[in-house]
Amino acid sequence: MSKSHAAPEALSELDAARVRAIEATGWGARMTFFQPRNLAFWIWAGLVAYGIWHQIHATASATYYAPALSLAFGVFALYGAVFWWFTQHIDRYATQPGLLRVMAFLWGGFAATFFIAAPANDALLGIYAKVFGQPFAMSWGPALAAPFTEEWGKGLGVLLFIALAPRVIRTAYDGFILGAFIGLGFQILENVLYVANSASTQFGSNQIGASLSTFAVRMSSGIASHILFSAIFCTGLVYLLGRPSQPRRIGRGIALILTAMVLHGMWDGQSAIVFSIFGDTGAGHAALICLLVGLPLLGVFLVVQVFKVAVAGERAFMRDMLAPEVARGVLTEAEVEAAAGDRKARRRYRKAGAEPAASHGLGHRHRNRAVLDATFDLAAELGRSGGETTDRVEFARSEVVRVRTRAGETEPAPAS
Amino acid sequence: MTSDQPVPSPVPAAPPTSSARPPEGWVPVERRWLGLDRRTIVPALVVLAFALVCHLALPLINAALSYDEETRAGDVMLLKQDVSFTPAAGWSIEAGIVEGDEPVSASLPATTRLTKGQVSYEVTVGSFDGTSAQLLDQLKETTDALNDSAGLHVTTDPAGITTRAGDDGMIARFSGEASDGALAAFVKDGVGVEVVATAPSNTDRETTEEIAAMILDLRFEGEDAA
Repeated sequence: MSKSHAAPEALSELDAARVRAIEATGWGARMTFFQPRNLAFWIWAGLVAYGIWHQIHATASATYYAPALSLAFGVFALYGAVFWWFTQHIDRYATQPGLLRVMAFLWGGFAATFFIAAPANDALLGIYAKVFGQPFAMSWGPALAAPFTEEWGKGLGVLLFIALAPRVIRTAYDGFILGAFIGLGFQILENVLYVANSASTQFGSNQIGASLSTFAVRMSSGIASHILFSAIFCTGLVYLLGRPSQPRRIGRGIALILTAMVLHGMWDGQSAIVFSIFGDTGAGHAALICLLVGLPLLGVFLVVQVFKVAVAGERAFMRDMLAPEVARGVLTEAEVEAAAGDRKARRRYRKAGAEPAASHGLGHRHRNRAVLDATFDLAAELGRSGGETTDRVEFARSEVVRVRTRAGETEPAPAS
Repeated sequence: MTSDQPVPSPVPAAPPTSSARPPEGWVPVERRWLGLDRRTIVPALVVLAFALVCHLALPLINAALSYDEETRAGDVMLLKQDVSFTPAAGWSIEAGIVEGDEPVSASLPATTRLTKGQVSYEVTVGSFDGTSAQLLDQLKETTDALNDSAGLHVTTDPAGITTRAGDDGMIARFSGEASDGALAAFVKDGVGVEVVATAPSNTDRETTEEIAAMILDLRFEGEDAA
C-alpha cells in the first residue's frame, strides 16, 4: 500500500468528513427485519401477508387457468429480474440493504396491490358509474382512480420504511431507489393479474393465445410504468417529508408527487383524453398513437431528470467518502472523479490510457472498468465499517492496487 | 479510629451512562408507549388509515350507492365486436352502454349486466373459434372448474334456439343453491356471446318473458333490430 500523501492534520479532516458523509447517507447501515416494538413492522407484515394470502387463494381458485398463470409467473419473474438487476446497478452509492429492497418489492407486489389498490379501484369505478354514469366511468374511471389509489398505496410504503430503517433512508435518492423497487413489485403482480384476466376473454378456450397480446403490451409498457411512476413519487415524498440529510423541499416534493400522478392518469386515460379533443376520427386515432409513443418517452425523460437531481447529493458524498483514499495514495483523483461522476465521466475514465498494457494483463478498458468496480467495492466496505480501517477495508484497498497493476503497470492509470 | 471522629463524606459515584449508540432495535424506555416505539406510531397509523379507507371505506360507500340508470323502451345495449341487444325496459344498468350514450373513450364493454330486483341478466362477448354447441360446452367446463360444488351448474341438455335476426345458438338451464337460470351461447364469424340469466326460483312470469325476449333480440354486426 502506498504511503499517505497528505499531512496528518489534513488526513484527519478528510477522515472526519468521510464519517460525516457515512452518517449523513446511512452508507453501510443495516436494518433488522423483526422489530416487534415497531408498529410499522406489524402494519407492513399484516398487509403483505394479506396480499400473499389473497394471491394464493386467487391462484388456487383459478387452477383452470393454470397454464396462462404459470407462463405469466415465469415470464414476468424473468422480466422482473432484469429490472431488479438494473435498479440494483444504479444503486451504487449508499447502497440499500438487500432486505429493504425485498421488503419494498413485497409491499408493492402484495400490500399495495391486493389490500389497497384492487378493492379501492373496484369501489371507485362503481362509485363513478353510479354517480356520473356508465360512460363516464368507462372513459375516465381508471384515470381518476389509479393515480390516487395505486400511487399513494405504493408511495406510503416509504413512510413505513423510514420508520423501519431510519438510518438507511436518508436522502431523496434513497426514495428514488426504494420507489423503483416498490413499483417493480406492483408491476410484476399487476402483470400477472392482467394475464389472468385476459386468459378468460375467449371463454377460457385459448388461454395462452388470448394472453399473448397482454404479455406484449405489459412488457413493452412496463418500462415506463409503475417503476417509473413510483420512483418519481417516492423521491417527491422524501423531499416533502425531509430527512436528517435531506432538507425539506415542499414545493419540489409536491411537484414530483403530482407529476407521478398526472403521468399515471394520462397513461390510463389516453383514449378518453384524445377522443374528447379530436373525436373518434382519423385525427383522433393518429393522436392516440402519438400519445402511446410520446407518453412513455416523456416519462423516461422526466425520471432521468429526477434521477439527476436526486443523485447529485450522493455523488458529492461519494467524493467525501473517497477523498481520504486519494490522500492515502490508494486511489487517484481520476478514479474518484469517475466513481463520483455520471455515466459520461465513467465512460471517459474507462477509455483513458489507450497505450497498450503489458502482454499478460487486461486491456486498458477492461482494466479501468475493473479498477472502477474495485473502487465501488472499497466505498461499500468503508461504509460498512463506518470509515474505520478493518481487515475488509484493507483487503478492498489491496484489490484496487492489484487490479490496477495486473496489467503490469506500477503507477495508477493516467487521468483523461 | 474512635466513634466520634468525623466520617468522610463518600464521594458521590457518577451515574451509570449508556453507550453512545444503543444496540440495533433497542428502544429507550422513555420512548415506549404500550411497548411500542412512539416514533413509529404516527407514520404506521397514517399508512393503516389510508389502507383501511381503500380496503373498507370505499367498498362500503360503493355498496351503499345504487345504480340509477335504467333501461327505457327503445334502448339498444352495445357491446364489443359489434354485438348488441334490445333490453326490456325498467332494468338497472350495472354495467353496459346504451346506444347514443357511448363513452368518449370510444371503447365498448365486453360485458353488459342488467338487474331487476334479484334477477340478473349478463351478456359477455369474446372471440371464439367454434360452434355455439362447442361454446356452450366450453362455458359448462369453465363454470364447473371455477365454481366447484358452489355456484351454478348446468342441469338440462342443451336445446337449439334461434334469435329474431336468424342466428342459431344453444341454451340450457342451470340451477344453483338458491337460484335458477339459463345459459345461452351463440357464435357467428368467430364472435362468441355468452348469456347468463339468473333468477330466484319463484320469479314472476313477466320477468321470465322479458329475459326470453332479450335473448331472442341478440344481434351481431350488420343485423337490424326486429
